Amino acid sequence: MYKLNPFRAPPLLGLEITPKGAALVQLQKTRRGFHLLHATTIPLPPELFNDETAITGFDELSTLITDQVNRLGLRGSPAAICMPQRQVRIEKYWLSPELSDEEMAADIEVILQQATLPFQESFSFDFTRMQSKDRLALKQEVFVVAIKTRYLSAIIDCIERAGLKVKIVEVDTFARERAQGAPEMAPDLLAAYGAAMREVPAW
Amino acid sequence: MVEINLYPWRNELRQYQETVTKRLCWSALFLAMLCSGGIEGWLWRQGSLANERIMHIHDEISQYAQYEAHLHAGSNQLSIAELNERMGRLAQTAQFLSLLHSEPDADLCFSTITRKDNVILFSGQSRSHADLNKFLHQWMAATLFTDIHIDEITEHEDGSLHFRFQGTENAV
Repeated sequence: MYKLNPFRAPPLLGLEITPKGAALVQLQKTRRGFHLLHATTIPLPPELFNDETAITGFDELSTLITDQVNRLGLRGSPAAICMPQRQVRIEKYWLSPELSDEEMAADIEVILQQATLPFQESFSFDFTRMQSKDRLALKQEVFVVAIKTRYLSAIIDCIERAGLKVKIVEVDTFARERAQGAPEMAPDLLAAYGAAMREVPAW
Repeated sequence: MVEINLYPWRNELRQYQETVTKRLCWSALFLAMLCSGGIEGWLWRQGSLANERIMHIHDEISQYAQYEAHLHAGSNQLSIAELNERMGRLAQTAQFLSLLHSEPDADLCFSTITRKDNVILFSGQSRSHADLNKFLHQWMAATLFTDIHIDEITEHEDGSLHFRFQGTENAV
């Protein structure tokens, strides 16, 4: 349906890459909920991953995903990638609630770099402020999720070479939680389904 | 529900907002220029129309002035000539009436005296041809006419005459 209107962005494509395969789900949002457009799993050879289930064969992975994207006519679609929880760092920091988002991001970056001394690994991260009941509290709980920038950039580059536009990178556990109650969805597609439920960002 | 996006979306969002802002600024500028150009064109068109109207009015005024001058000059000449002529006619008529009044012994009577331009038509009755001839020879007012022409004489059974003649007035 979205192809009829050239000004309307295509729906988000949920993508989870694990040694079991690359799960790919695309949903169309309707008034009642979601309409399933595509749901498929691309089998992946185990050589693409190391012992810690991190991706190592980016070129081959890109080729496999490209074939499927072209076959389904999904080239140019925005994509939301699910990262396995073991590949990310999930932290909780206590920071001043008076900090702006930019100041808080700068503080978190410093904290993350100090934690990886002496390597000073660069991290891509996102955070969310947890609601506090005490409005006069001096510190605010901040939920931080971080991933090594080098690894994330390689994955984004791999997916974009396959013809998709990466818009969202999230954690598989949050995506599965969002997809709870999805009707008759196979467990290996659940995280991709949950990722595809998010809104397409304007940018 | 935690909404985390590890993609560097803040940079993307900032770039997107900058792009949108630039587009809006350029669009506003373009729209303003378009409106300004449109208004300027409309004003220029109105100005040229107003100039055309002014030129037309000037033409009308000059034509009217020429016409008025011509009319004024013409009317003066006509009125002076007409006035002179009418004054002459009036003087002649007054003299004619005065002479008519000064002849009480005439043995005829005029029934109608009418004027047509510079010709005066007389009609009336007399007792005989002799009375009519005598009157015409002695008529002092005959000096006011260049010529007198008898048009009709009708004789009744009792010998009386019905006559009609005309006299052409002297030039004024």
